[in-house]
Amino acid sequence: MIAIKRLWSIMWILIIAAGALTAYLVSLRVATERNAVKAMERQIYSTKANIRYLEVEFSARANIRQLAEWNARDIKYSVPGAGQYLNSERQLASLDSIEPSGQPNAAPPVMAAMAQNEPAPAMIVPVKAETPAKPVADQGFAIVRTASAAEPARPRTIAAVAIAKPEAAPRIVKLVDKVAPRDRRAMRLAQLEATLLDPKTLGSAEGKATR
Amino acid sequence: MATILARPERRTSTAPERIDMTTAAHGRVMLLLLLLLAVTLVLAARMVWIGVDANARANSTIASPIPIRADIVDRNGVPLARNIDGYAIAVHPDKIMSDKAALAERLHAIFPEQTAQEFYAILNSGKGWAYLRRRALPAEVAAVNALGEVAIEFPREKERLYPQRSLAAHLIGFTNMDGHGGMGIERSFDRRLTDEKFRNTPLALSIDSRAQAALEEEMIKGVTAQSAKGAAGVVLDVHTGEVIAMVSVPTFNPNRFEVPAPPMVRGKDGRMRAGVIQCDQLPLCNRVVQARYELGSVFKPLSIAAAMDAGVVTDMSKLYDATKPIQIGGYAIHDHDALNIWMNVPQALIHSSNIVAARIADELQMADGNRLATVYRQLEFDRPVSIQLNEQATTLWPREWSRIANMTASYGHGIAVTPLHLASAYAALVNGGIWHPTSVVKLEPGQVPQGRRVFSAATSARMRQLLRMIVQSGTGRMGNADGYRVGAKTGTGEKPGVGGYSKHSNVVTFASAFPMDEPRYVVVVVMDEPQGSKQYPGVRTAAYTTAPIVKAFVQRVGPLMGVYPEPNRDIDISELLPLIGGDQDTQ
Repeated sequence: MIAIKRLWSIMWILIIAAGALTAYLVSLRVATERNAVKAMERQIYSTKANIRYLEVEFSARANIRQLAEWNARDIKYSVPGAGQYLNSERQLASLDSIEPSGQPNAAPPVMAAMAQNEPAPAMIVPVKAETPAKPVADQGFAIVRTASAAEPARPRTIAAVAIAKPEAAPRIVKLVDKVAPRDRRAMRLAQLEATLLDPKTLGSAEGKATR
Repeated sequence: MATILARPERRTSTAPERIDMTTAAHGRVMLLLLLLLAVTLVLAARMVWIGVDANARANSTIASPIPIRADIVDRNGVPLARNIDGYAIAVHPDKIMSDKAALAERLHAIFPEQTAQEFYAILNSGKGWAYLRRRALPAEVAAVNALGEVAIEFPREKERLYPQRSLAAHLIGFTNMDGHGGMGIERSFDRRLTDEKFRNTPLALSIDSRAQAALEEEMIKGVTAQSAKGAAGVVLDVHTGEVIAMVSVPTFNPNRFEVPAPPMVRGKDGRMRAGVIQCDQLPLCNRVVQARYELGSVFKPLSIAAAMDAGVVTDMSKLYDATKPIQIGGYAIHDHDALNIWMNVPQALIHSSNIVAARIADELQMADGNRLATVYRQLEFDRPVSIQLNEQATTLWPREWSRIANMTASYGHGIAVTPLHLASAYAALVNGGIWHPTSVVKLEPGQVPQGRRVFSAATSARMRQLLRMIVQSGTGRMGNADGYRVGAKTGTGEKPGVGGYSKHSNVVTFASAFPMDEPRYVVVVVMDEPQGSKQYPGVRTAAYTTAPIVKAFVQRVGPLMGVYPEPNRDIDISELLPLIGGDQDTQ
């Protein structure tokens, strides 16, 4: 009886020892896992620090002044003018400077100039004269850039040519008359396409889109 | 012989003794066991402690992702100042193995801006430890490492980096060697930037880095073209008082910056002491808040607005005598380009007549006492400007608001303020009459402080017309950015020097706002002593110096700030045009 009692106490000791050992093993396991987590956290932090360093390096190398220097030297973008911003779809639609239906459409003057082999400046310089002389003020020339649908824009360059060289106007009209209706339509389409795809127009449309 | 026979003592049984010995032996064994147990427990406890301690140490050695100093960003989140673990290059001069002269030469080859002699001096300093470079790029570190010198090491240090270099350098400031702010935002918000609670949140400034960069570039171009001493420029949001851009030229790079020692001067007691650094001598000076100028004619719209509010100027067509200078107290008030005619208010602004401004201010004083002084005080011209920066100049305020002080102050003489004072006054002038304190920190819609009314809404509307008229038909034409409806007033002030005002050293100002039909931004550019450009030699007026800067700035940045050019839209000034007799050529 006594022997059994003694054995029991040894059993208790063994059970407790085994329990303690198991608990210790569990805690070891937990510690290992915890260390792995810590190592991972450390890695995350160091990666974050690296990202931060690289971000800073990137923004330092591509700082605004540096970009401005590159632009001045190589890219040469300039500030868009007031005329390149459009306020409404109506203004966008009136950009192609096509007459409303029914009227014969004039070919773009630059094309006419090329067909005639005339020096381009002669056609372009008068266009720059934004404030025309009094007699032609009522031809709608001055409002071309800010044209609205209410007052359709006329082909401004024709007016301009008329101002600068009155004798040049009949020649262009004659040229226009010679063009067959089908060609004229193709020309209209080409003109519309050229105007809409012009970098200036696209630039303005993008500016509008990002408002 | 007697014999004593002692009866031997009766021996007791030895069994209990044996039992005692067994007990004693058991006791000893138990003691030993207890000792062993105690040692085991101590060892176990020690193990546990080591485990806990190691854990704690592991926790503390993890680099915290929170920077030791908060980032500074602009209103759109573009980083302007950040903390990184940078590389430094240090050396133990007493442990150098290779030839020092050759090493210095090779270091010079890697860092050409530092001479070999400088490196040689560091290597021969005999110190235990010295920096070769405080900041180095990874590529430079690799190159130095390739030299193979064991005495050179590469500690990683927390450092403050300004990725945009000199952009807004005066406003942001810099940090000292001890890691605390030495100037600008870094100094005035030092506690906020280092506070553990807020370090993880970047401090958002009110400035827009795109506007800031554009204004800096245009002003540097202008100052170079005019060979001016410097310039100050500021852009304010008229409705909130937020500073959108703040530029002082010349500027500096806060990444490579050493605080220059002030010049030594001999005091009255004969001792040498550090003197005050003037703005002209130091690029560090933020001219927007630290320099005060007598800004001249740009004050006229303010004094005329005060007179309108007081009911002294009720009729735009009323004529004032500007046929001859006003003589008062031995002092003559005259116009620069005198037309010697009678003028109404619009004409006086277009021709920038000192005489008419002085007459109106005099009438105002007679009618309403020191009303002009009160308005100027409401605009805080008598104290440092309200802004969260430590760098602030005091203003020059007349000692006594006499009749002559009142008259000269009406056209900006005898009173000196900073360009920021003027900008915030113009914001109040055009925004409907409400003055707001200025802020360099981004304000959320609910955070805009309550302003105070300085001008009536009707006066503000009239002043918008008048300012637009000056740009369309007066001295401000060179600042007219097509479609942006700019309104402005030009000003030319003579700088006080030894023996009175100098005719040849001027401070020219262009104080503008846009778009005038619904003002959103005020732009003030002040240039210190322009000398005239190659294009217009000898011409030093605001129209040819500062106005083109504002025009270029508005064209570049207007759309980015939400103001688009609209050639078909403008404020109606048709009622004023007959009063000035159509277009005036007053360039």
